[in-house]
Amino acid sequence: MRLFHVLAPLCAATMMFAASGSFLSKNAPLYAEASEGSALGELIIASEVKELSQKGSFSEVEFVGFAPEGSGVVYEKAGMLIIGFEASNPSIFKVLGQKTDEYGSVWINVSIKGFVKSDALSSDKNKVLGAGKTLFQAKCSTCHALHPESEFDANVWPSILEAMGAQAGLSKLEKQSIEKYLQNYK
Amino acid sequence: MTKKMDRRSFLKVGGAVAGTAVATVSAEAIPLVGDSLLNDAEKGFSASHFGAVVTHTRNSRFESVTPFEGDEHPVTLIEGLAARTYAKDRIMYPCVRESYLKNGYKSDKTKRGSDKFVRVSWETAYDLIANELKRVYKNYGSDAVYGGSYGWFCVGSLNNPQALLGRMLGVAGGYTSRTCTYSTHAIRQITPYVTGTDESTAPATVYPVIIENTECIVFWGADPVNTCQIAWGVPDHQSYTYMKQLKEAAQKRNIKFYIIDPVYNNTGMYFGAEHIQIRPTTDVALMLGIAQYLYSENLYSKEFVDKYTTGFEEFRKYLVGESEDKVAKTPEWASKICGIPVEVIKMLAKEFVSKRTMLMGGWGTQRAHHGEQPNWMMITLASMIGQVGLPGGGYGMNYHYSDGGVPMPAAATGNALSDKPLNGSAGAVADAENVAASPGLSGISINSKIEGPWKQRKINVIPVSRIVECLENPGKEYNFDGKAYKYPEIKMAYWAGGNPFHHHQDRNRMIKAWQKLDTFVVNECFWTATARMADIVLPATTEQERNDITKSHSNSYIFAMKQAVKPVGEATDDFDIFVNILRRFGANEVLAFTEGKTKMEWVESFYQESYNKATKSGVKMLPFKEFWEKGFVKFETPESAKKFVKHAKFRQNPVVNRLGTPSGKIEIFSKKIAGYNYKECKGHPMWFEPMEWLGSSVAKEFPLNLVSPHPKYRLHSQLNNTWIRDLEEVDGREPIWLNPKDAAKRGIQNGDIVRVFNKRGQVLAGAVVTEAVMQGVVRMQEGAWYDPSEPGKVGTLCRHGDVNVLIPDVGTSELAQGNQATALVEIEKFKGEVPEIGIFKAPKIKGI
Repeated sequence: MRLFHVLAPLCAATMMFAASGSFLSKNAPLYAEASEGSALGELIIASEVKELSQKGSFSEVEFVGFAPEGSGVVYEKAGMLIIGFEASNPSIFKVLGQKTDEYGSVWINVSIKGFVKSDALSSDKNKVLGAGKTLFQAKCSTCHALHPESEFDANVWPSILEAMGAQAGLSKLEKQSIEKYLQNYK
Repeated sequence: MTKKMDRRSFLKVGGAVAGTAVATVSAEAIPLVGDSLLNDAEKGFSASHFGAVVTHTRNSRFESVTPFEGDEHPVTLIEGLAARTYAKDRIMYPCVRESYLKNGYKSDKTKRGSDKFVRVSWETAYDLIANELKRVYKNYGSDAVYGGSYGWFCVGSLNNPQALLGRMLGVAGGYTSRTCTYSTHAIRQITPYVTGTDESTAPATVYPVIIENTECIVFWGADPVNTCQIAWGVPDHQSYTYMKQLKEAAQKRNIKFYIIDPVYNNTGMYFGAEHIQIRPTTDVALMLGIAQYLYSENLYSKEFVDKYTTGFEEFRKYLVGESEDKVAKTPEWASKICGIPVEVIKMLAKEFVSKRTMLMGGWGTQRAHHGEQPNWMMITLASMIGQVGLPGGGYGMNYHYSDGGVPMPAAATGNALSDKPLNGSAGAVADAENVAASPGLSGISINSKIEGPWKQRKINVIPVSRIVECLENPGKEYNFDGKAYKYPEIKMAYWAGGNPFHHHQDRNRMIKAWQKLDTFVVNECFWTATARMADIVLPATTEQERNDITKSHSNSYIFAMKQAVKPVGEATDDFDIFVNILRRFGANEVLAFTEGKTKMEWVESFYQESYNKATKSGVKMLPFKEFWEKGFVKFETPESAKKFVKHAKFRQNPVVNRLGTPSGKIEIFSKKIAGYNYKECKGHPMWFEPMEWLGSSVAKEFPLNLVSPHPKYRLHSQLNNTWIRDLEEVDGREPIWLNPKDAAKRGIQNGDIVRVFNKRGQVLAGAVVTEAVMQGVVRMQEGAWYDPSEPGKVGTLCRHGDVNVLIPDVGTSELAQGNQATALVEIEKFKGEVPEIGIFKAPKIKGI
């Protein structure tokens, strides 16, 4: 009973913030505290996070995703190279479980909690992806015909952008913004 | 007239201004007295697909160029830049085909090519185009306008005619576009399934690593010494410096070179490579023979295959004869197909596994029927060799393209030190010691940023090389890359900066299919075969007649492209042409196209964007004005880029640095492709008999296998209308190489004019009898201008030697739907009077 008393206010707060989905509107550092200290890593544009609480200009968030064993990069889904979080150190991951895909690859289901500047969050994923679309059309059609969005799989686009990004002079955020738009295209 | 025709009144008729025109009939007769020959400001700066150049303008003529000081191996092609400005076939005025001018879209389409052209004013031309676009949009919808406009003209960030055309049509009402390229159709579609990336553009292991480590280099259908003359961006030809160093290293370290090709090419010659003569389009059979030998002798790297690939077991069954066909793909089996002796096949297998071996694959092997297979099989073979990811080993599929293999400055990304490599395919990054980086350069987009109905338009695409099939079969369903699509009904096509009547296959079939179009509009500088097939032709400026900005393909430079001379005749920038068409649609449309910027403001904005990125990254750049004055800005290459090894990260940790395939590994077997159930592209690489090859029944009637590599003295068809063609042509015809034995059999001697033919058509060519081409094979470069004896007539003789008259237009398979570049032909000595070439001078034009 005592336990309930302690948890209840926390749960209420969690439910309140998690009511609407939150998405990164840009790449943003994730901090251990609600201040700009050393970062645990970087949350990547368009990734979904759960808002847990609010502290000043910071939001406490949780990102849940999948990482290959030993990887500091956490993907949004198992088997899909859609980057959600890049860790400075993988030891911060809380392991929730694991999944083996049809090719036998093992994906560790992990959770990462921390603080992010609230202005890096958006409730409108389409708007975030729309910015990627604009960039895609602006940057990727000057030297060659624009590729149809459905031309490559979500897992193929990152290496295409890796090779082409240098030619187009894409910054990391521009590249990932385009990447997320293409990977989410249906 | 000449006295009063001063510079100012001449300028009045240039550009988009309507009015009286200068009565010139060819570019050479510009009736003006120019600046003094002693011009104190004769030097300018520009760039091209052949290199960056200092332009020299005297007497108001763009007379010549000298190479940019940073060009490490200037090529003769740059001399064509000045030459083509005053070519006899410059298009001087807007022209309309006579029957089209009379009857519009209801004109007699069979007269395309043979009808006379009539000179019209710019206003008339713009009205005709805008009205026709509106008619087609209204009656048939946006898909009915084809704006795919494939081509290679212009390196400028602003004046890329293909992008500008798409932008104009997108604003006006939409269009059907295209995907893929004639160069990389099959490799680009197949390799994402195999290694999770497009291997035609994925960075290859850099030359410094090869020079230090590689012991055996195989040029497999690749000729980098020839094709690195040109680049998609501007070549700075650093690859030639590295190739020279490689040759020096070879002498010290005894590096072995092989060239696997039906033709002994420039690269083979330079490196003194051993020539493995292979029958065209049988490379997969050879690779299978090598693979089977490696497997049966237990010479292959089981460790690599197990750890880094998936699906070897399915492939193994096929290899050893345990699959459906029950045929083991032994060296003996392979030898019968590819014509290479069994002992040589075994020797190659042993060489590849005993030496640090780099397989340098070209794109020739994939421009063939079943062109999906060679690259897939080469990656499979490289996996069995087991050196993928090791310094100097493995494979690379773009050493022949745009200075491939040259270490590049990393991208300046806001903070050049913070970028981490991700996935197995990460390229070079700047390191802490070297903040050397390039900000790249952007250009005008195919889509406008301005709000309007154009923002919602969905642009339909077709695979680029299926355009004729599309015209022939509106509404027909076809398969492509795992999905089913329908060909749209195309009523109008617009081309800018391309020459489909050179790059597309099966010319006669194409001429007939083109008659299905109501209207065909072309922006061009020259009276190409394509311009001659148009209903409306608009004269465009050359790269040196307009201001622009560009960068080297290696990212080592950004270049100014400064107008060297006023445009010839009424030639107008593509940008202005499209603005004037959009004026017929409305002010919003014009604004959407220009975004309120002048051309020079656009140029400066591209530079400024790079400048801002560079500044953030701590990379120095000159302010725009100083850059424009100087002509270029240079970016250094970091030492880390000189150590790049393809797939090294993947080899180091294939779990963390997984590839973009579903399994994260190299997919020797692809469940996805197998699931498509295509007849001619299955779950693993296989040998499929091509529709035409030396072992097929067609060879009884047409016993010579024609191959059509890239030209030495052109960029595809560009520059063919300059004196540079004289460096190679035989009596004014495109050369065809044939083996002395094949020549003797037909009574053909070196220098003879010959007729090359098959069931698709006939061309004249000039015989070059040489041992450089193997028996049974003939070699004729792509890109010679099509010069029909009777223009517009199906089956007529091409007097000049357009090889695509002879090559079939049949897709590689349902997976890539790519184009082919080989065919079976017969040759005979040409009897009768040799006709004169007609293509390199302007046609007679009414109304001038």
